[in-house]
Amino acid sequence: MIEDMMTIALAKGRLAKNAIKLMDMCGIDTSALKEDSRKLIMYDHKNNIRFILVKPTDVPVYVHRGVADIGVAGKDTLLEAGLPLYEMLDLRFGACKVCVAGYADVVCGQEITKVATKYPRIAKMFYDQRGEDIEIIKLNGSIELAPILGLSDVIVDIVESGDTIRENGLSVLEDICDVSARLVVNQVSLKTKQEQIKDYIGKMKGALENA
Amino acid sequence: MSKLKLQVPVGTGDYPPEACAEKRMVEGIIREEFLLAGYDEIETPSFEYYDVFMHDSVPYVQENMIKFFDSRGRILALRPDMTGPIARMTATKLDAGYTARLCYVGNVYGHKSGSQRAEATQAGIELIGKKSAEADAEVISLAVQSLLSAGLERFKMDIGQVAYFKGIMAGTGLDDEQQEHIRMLIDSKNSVELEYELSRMRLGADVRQSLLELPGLFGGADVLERAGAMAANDLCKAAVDNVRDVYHILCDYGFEEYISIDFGLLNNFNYYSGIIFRGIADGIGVPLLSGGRYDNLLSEFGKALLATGFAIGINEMLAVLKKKRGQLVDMQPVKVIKCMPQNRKQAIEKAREMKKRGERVILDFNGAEYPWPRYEVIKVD
Repeated sequence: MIEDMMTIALAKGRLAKNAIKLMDMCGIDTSALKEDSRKLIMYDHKNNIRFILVKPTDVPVYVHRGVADIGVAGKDTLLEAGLPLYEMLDLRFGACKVCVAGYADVVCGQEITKVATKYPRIAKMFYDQRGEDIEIIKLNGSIELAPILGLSDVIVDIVESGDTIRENGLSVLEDICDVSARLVVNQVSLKTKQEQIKDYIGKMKGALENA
Repeated sequence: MSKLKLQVPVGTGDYPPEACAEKRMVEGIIREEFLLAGYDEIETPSFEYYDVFMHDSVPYVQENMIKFFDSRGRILALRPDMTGPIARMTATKLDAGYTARLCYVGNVYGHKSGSQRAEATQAGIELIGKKSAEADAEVISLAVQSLLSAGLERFKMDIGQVAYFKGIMAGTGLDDEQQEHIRMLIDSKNSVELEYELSRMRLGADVRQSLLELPGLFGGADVLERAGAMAANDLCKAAVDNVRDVYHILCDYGFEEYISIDFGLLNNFNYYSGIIFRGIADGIGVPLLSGGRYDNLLSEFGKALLATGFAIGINEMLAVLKKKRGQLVDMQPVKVIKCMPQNRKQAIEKAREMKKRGERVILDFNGAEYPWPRYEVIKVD
């Protein structure tokens, strides 16, 4: 039974809320997810689905290792993880951009640019493509502080409205890529649980088109 | 005391007696299947000149290889797989006039990345000098049989054919970088970004449509009809025919239920030239086995020989088997002969007899305790 059960990994927080809305439209019983509880595993017994709630950056890890068949995660998280997964749907919510931000008048390129970021891999890929040398300073939050305090020249971070950037006197210097929530599928599960997964992907596609 | 003294390097592992017995059992079953199918076992060095792994067409990633220097400053690399060394050996030491069927069980190395171990054991085969649907099917059927014999029940052999994608790409005029980007999007079944990228490229409507279909072109035998119906040219048609022929042969083996077909499977694309496949099973998120046809590798070593093969990840096999069955082997019992200096000669004689019968024997002179049931204590007169 557990072998045939489908496990869906959701990123705790805003993405999960939107994912629940979408799953509701696809006939998945998400009532267990809406309860105010501290449980990390929840079930939709009728459809033989198990939900797990994990830290956003962990979603690709759970799906890659096959302990979750399906996951909902932001494109930024997926790029940063860089794991082989099937990225099958753009769920469109959670839209934002990964950008380079800093003081508009900073001149880069003379010396090694110091880049503060939560996304060292994305930052590295972006600057590698241009052949620019950088020093990455990995931070875990309040990235905007880094250029203000002189810890870094620029930051690489996700920007939604740009308010936080502006309020801290910084500006967006360059866009790196667009981000939105994606439906990812484990490469083995897609083949071994093909019917079930194809069915849900079809339903979600339909729901997205009608939305 | 240094803490490192007590540890093994990241990505490696010890095999204490029980774990080692399990590993040997799985390796033994698979090796036996290879030998029964007419494959001869070979061995190559654990490290090679780095040059063996450096060509345009190979999937080895420079930074993943563990490298060092020989006494003359030449770069050596711990082998990242067995295929390169076997290609080198075949090109330099074997008679090219006949078909070589070679197999191995050995360790491969690389810097640990993700779920990839730094030292992993692979059991695999290479069929060199043959290109036909029969040869492709021989190799895939041996892969299926090996997994079955090792005790795996629920698994799929996912089969693709890179020539189908190459057929679509032929004549599009896209450069390598663009082709690689499209390949990557198809291989990750990222239809959304694929559609966006293709809309920015100058392509014919039919080519665009064929490429857009590729991520979803997977499933059972019905996929062959779909792929055949939309084959863009003779190259694509030949690719579908090849998979169909292989599929029919595998059905004659009775392996129909294990086959899944996916024309969007495009990993290690530059290396493989025809059919590619990988073994996947529930309970483990990464492939257990991967292989395919690599007709261009041998020419890198100066012999234009056609080849196909696969490697089974023994560590992955052990993980999935243990997950399903728990303990895989009962340790073989050991007999203990208790003796004193005065009857030592008789005891040694008895031990010799028992070993001839295939029994495992310890001579014990100091009366140590042996835990039952693995050890059976025997007295001599």
